[in-house]
Amino acid sequence: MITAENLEKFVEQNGTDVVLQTLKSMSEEERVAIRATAIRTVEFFRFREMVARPSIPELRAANGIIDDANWNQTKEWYESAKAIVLYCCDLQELKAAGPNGLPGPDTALHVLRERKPAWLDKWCSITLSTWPTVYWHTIVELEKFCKTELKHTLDYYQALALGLPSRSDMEKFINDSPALKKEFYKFLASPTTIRAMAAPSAVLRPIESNNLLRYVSASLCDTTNLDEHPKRWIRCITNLVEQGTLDRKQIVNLSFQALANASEEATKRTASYLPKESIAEFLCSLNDNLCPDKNAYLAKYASLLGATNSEVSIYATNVFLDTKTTDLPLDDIFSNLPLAFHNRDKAPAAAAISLLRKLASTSCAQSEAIGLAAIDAFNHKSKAIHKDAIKLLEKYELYRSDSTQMKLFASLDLLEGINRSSAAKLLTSLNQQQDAKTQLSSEESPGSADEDTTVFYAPENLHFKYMELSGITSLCDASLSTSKEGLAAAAIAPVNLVSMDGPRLHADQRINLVETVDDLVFLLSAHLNRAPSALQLELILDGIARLWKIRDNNFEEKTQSLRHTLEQIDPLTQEPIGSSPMGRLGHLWLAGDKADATKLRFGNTPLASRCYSLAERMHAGLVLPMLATPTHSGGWLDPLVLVRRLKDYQDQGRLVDADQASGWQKLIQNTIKAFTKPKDDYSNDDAEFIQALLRLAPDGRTVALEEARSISGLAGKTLRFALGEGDITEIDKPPFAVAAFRSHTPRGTCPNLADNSWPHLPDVVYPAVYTYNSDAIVKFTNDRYKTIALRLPDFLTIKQIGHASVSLQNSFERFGEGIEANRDETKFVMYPQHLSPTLKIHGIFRNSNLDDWSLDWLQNKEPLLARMAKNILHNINSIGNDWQDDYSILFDPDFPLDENGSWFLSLALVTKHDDVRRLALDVLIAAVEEQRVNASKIGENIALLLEHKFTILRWTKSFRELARISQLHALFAWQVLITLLEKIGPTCPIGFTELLLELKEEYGFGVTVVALEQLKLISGSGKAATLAKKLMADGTTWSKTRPLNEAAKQSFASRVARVERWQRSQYFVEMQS
Amino acid sequence: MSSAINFSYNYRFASAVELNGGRHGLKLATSGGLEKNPYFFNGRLQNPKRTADILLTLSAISRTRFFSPGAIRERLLAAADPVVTCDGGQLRFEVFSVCCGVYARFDLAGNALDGAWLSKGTTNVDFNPPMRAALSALNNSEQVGLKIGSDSVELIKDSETVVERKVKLPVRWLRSFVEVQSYQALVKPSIEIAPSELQKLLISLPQQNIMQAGVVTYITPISRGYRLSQRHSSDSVAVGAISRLKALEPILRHVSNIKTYTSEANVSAFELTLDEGKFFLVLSPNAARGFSGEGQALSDLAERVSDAVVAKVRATLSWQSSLNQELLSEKLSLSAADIKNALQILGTRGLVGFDISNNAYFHRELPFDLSVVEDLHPRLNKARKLVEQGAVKIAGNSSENSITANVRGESSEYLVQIKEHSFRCTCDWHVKHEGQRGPCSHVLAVELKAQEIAK
Repeated sequence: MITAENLEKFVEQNGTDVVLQTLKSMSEEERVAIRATAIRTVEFFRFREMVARPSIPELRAANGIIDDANWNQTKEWYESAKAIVLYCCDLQELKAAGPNGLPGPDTALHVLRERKPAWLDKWCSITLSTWPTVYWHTIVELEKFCKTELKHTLDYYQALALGLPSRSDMEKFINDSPALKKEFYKFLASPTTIRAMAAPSAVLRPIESNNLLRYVSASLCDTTNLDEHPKRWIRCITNLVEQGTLDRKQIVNLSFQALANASEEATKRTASYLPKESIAEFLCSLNDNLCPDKNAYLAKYASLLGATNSEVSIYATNVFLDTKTTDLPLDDIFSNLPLAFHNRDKAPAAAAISLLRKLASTSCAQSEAIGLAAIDAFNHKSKAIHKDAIKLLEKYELYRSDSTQMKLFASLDLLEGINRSSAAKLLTSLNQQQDAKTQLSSEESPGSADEDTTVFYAPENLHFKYMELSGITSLCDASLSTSKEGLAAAAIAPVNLVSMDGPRLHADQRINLVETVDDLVFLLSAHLNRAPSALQLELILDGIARLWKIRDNNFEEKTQSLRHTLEQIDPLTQEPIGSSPMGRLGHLWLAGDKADATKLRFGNTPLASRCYSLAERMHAGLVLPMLATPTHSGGWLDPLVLVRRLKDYQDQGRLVDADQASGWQKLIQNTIKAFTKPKDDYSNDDAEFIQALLRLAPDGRTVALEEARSISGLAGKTLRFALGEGDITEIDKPPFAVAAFRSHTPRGTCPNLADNSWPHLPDVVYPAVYTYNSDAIVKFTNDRYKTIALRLPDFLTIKQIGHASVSLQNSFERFGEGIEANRDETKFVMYPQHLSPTLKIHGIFRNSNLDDWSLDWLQNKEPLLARMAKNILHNINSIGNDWQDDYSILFDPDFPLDENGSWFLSLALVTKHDDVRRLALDVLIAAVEEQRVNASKIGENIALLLEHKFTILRWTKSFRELARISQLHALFAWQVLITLLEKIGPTCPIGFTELLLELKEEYGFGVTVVALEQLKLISGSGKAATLAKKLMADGTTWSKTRPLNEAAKQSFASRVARVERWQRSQYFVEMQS
Repeated sequence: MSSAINFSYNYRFASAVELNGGRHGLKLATSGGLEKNPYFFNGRLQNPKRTADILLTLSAISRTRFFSPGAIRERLLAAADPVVTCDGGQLRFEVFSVCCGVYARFDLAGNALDGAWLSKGTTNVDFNPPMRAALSALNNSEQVGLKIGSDSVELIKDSETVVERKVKLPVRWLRSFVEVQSYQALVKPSIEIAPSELQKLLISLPQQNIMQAGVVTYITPISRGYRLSQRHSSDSVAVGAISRLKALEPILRHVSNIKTYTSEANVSAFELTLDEGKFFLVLSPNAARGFSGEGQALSDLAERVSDAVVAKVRATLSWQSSLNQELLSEKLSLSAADIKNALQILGTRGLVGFDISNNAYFHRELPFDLSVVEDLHPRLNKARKLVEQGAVKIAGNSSENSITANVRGESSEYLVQIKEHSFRCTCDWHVKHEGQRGPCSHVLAVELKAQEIAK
């Protein structure tokens, strides 16, 4: 008898057979008594077996093991110990023991057959799910010996499917097992079984990985070669059917059912290092073997033609390709075949075309149905499929019926380039070819004749100045000339939106300021955790500035949640929310004039200075609005309102140009002073005033100037200069002078400061001049860490006028290092960057929290657009959603996009991010409609960017979609592509020339002389040469007039509408009345 | 609170397409509704292939997860079976996607069927893999009978095993049924699109739509068809996570016309007209937002009308396919507003659904115990507690059109403002969702308190 005391010795002194015999002779109570010892001992023997393994010779030698005989001995001991555990322990203990409770399959069978535990069913279930290939046979045998029917779970089936092929007599095994034979149909109907048969490696991989993770050095891992298993199963099932063991009809039906279920899932693309999961391939092969005569099942195969799974679809199509045409169920084929063209893979569509070809070559009676099915091929993404379908239509003349003509016409937009042009030629009946062309080119004026000439006359009520700015005058002149090229150029010429003569203030676009404390509570609460937009931030600042003294009875209650939030920890930064810039603003408002200056660290930015100025005024008990709060949408500030705000300031003794710092204020200023020169006359109000000047609307300045005469001091002089009066030399504070000058003449050179002594930083004294820098893109592309780089790729480098080119970044760095401090203090008082917002926008560091540049300088948007273009380039291959700027500002009809905007658009149209690309196209569509963008510049930019191997298809898709909007948009797209062709000539990518040809054929636009010369350089017999020949066919002639005229009409109407809108502007109306 | 309830579908047999006397019979097994396994219809499909395509699309939607955040991936829940309602003239199949962000309904019209309407009611229908395989193998050349329910003892005898499918029916699924009615009542008709045009738009979408869960795309008419835009315009339809529309691809070829519906909340709906009836697809504002998490119905659940009114309206329900509110108002001598509110409440109890094409509710009783639904709304429960605790203090300057109140929450006091068409609260939840997912518990508490005062 084995006892707890002798267990170890008993195992060492006896073989497994003796151990099993002894255990059998013991009572259940006796076995229970040795459970705990058995579990401890098995671990001891496991260790001894492990150290005896030949794979670790050092360990083996250290334990005195000499050869494999010792190892075999330890293995037997371990096996005996495991058998004792299995014989004595309950299920919970066995689960905990894992492999230590699992002797080999034969031993396990012997033990359990004798023991017949109540939990046998559960043990089988657990073992099958963990070690299916090792114990499947044990469990089948157990069923037989114990005469109990175990619950046949999915794991049971899976284990059988995995294990059976390892037996050389698998067919006999099934034959000899009544249970298996009876259940075989159910067995085969399970998707789990099918997967285990078809892809055993894929099924076993996670099971074995799990075992390895759970049981270190698990020795039960299956090492059988599984590659042959699927083939073995196919042979086995086929043989059983041939022998009559299985009912062919049922098995065939099951194979079709499995195929149908597999057809619902697209073909899985597994990683190359993982075993292929070719379930569909297995099922097709099985079905092929089971159905030698496929004619009996043609209806079933037809239903598989449109399978999502490409292998199933191809298999079904091949069945029909191998079948006599006379036997084909044509109706069923035609009702299912269109779905093959929706398959994301090309092969099923190609097979479907082959089937249609076979039908067309033999079944003339069905030509209409075949034609309709062939047109469905246009739904596929592959151009090659489109080409094959068109060839098919053409070769067998499948396009002649009314219904095919209608469908062909409706599907034309799915085609591109030569395919589209070839398909359009098939539109012969019903005059649809003509209809298609005319519809495409004249939808807005169906009655107009093709040779119509268009002469535009400006309405009399339009102001001359606005007509010039909007390009109406040029367009009218061009319409009188015979040059179509000239008319086209005038039609798409951008409106002058950089002029200071264009109005910006409209009475119906006034901004609603925060009116009540409640509104301020809600607004601030909404933005403590989420950065506000520039406008929302302005509203919050202004709300605090005007309402901070209002303390109702229930102020504490109303603001309690705000206080609570300020104390919370931001999960992202792990800092209290109250320590963020918005949090500090919240604290400032809640504390009012009792704010603790030491806690108001807003930083060193123009915005921070403005927050400090607000804090200073509050501390002084003043309730004054922020000077720079916009009054109208777009962020514009009504000059008259600024004048009145300044007067309010002066009335309350707050002069923006005086150093009024008290002791308390000095404390705040020290934070800023750390970044400035020690003796400058800095005032926090300066930043507020400068910001206000840079938002000053161009209209209403004359009226404001009259009222501004009473404003005294430097602020008065500065404001009056910005409004158009006075001498800049009288403004002896350079930041004020620069801001006033940039507000008045945003793109000029500041006259009194334009000498060689000032650092020539962009848009400070000299206007920024941008130069395309290809090297920056190359450097960026090659940067391994580009996605986390802190700096944006500076591909629009600022050209430094009058100085040797110094990179902008260096200038910023020089500021930081204080090199500039050595300059003459009296003449060149240097202010830090926070006093020059026009300079700050040029920084090329990536955006951080609260960096919204959209309202910093409204009279000149170029720095903002350059920054946005760089940001797009930085994220050109990103599909993330966390980097986009606020593009809504680009939809402002007065926002010019013809300079750096064209760089932004050129890049945004080729970004990987679908939504950004689509949004950029939305901007372009709006900008073309409103003539805010320059086609030639976009063409030139793309020509330059081509060297960087961006995905051309994205550009062509965008311009193709643009051209579908209207004739004006088509003309714009044409001009972009013609400019591109002119610039790069024979190297023009085929995608662009294809699109040019499409536009030419649809709209009859004329090629320019330069472009024609470039086309002549494309020689050979390839696709590019074919396209070039077609494009050159009409020379420089505009083969149609109507599309151009329509585009010009649209442009004229839009320009007139713009001027009429301008004439409804606030000050224009006041001036007229 | 548990996120799922155990639910058993008990089918007497598995749904299947069976050959019987040379004809294919489509047997849809039901799991019982108000009565034990009622049978509603016994007949033949006029156009088997097309109907099969539509049912398969519906079934595919019910098995699709259009959005899988990591946390949910860990506890995958089984797809629930479609709910079918028979009103004596048509069969309505309703499903939600597994993520609850897509609702689909197929109204199989009477003229697409040939047979006897035997009863009215609602039940689940078993769409098992063999059944789907059989459906996909149907062709128009075959004659296919349709039986809803276990119509004969013989059939049951042939296959005695009860098909029991235990699913973890997500609570989200039940809540979705409640919420989608409220959303459908809000959508407004927009543009009509030819199926070929929608097909073109779907082709232009990338195969894989990574990271676009929260993006709204607009279907915008242009002079030549339609385009997808990121910019709202007056005639555009806002569609959240537009790739979900690809679910319609398999049936677009059978569709004759598509009507679109849109709403300010960016919930979009598509009504597809087919020879066999109408197919509706309703999409949540974005893929990450299942209808279950919305709170549009919460204010309705907060009950603006009395139980007596709701009971009166409920008593008139008799499987109508369209409930005319004016007629009900006249018949019951109740105001139009009361009828509307009562129907909204009945919608939240799963007793009526909303049909956007008729712009009217229809009667159907969901085959689940929806008495638990109200308890499944933590926001509403919390709001009731707040009122009970006297945590709501309505400000003196409040009026009928604008209520301002302070609500004492767990950790702070919140400012709440309710105006005629908007509400605001300073709590984190409202700040995070900006009211897009319905009112927070504090707003609901103020609503409840205001109702209490008004009474």
